[in-house]
Amino acid sequence: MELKVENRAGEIAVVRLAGRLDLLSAADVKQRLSKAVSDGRRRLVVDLAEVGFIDSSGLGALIGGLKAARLAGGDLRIAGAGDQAKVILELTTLDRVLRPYSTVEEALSGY
Amino acid sequence: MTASFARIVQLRRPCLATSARALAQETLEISATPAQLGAIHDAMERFWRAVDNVSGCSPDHVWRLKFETAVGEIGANIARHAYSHGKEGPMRLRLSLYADRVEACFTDWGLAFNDSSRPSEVVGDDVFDVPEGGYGLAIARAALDRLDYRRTPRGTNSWRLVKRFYE
Repeated sequence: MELKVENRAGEIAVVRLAGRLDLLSAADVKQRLSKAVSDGRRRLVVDLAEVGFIDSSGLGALIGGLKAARLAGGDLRIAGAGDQAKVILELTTLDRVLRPYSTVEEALSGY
Repeated sequence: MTASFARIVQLRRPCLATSARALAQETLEISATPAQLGAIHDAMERFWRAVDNVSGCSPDHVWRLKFETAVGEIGANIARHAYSHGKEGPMRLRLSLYADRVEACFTDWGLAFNDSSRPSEVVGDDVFDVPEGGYGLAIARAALDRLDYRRTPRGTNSWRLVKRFYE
């Protein structure tokens, strides 16, 4: 899985993921999200537009990143979720705590 | 759950065959490790192409994604738990299309699955009450019509995942 962090103004970072967010990649993604928060980027937007598949381990990484951001007084938003990501968010009802935004721009609006 | 994700009936028209013989099949044997899980999704893609070649069978996109998500969860569960203590071993997957359903059958030769753990669930909107793991079997059960696990007398683990075209 590829992961790029783009720092933006106002403690915001856009984290762009590409590939499969699964058991193989989840621990690294969670660690990178937590590091972005500890580096002062406490408001994260995770761009899922290039993520083809997410499993429960991948969801756990996003929940872990969200907890790290909230503990620092920030937040984590997900954007560009594909159909499979929406399916697994609905099956788990985790869309209640990880509300999908259509685009990165929408997620950044008013952040 | 929104209406678009609640749809079950997905076929443009019913499959023509009625026998119990599989109309299309894809098999895969890999090492049960996280690094090999991508091969399951490659096999799924080959399976859907085979399904599309069967006259009359064209399951809906979201219906397919639910089946794929369930297959991915059980595959990951085997990769994580079947062979512990640094040992590696194989897992076998057989994907089958029947007239009224698709099935995935996993076999591994590892430790017996321990079903005593309580599956995670989201009970509120406070993220600090939300577990970071333990959703796999709940996801598979929610996405499928049937999920069976059996420890065989030969000491293998057998998982059967069933998703029907009709309610």
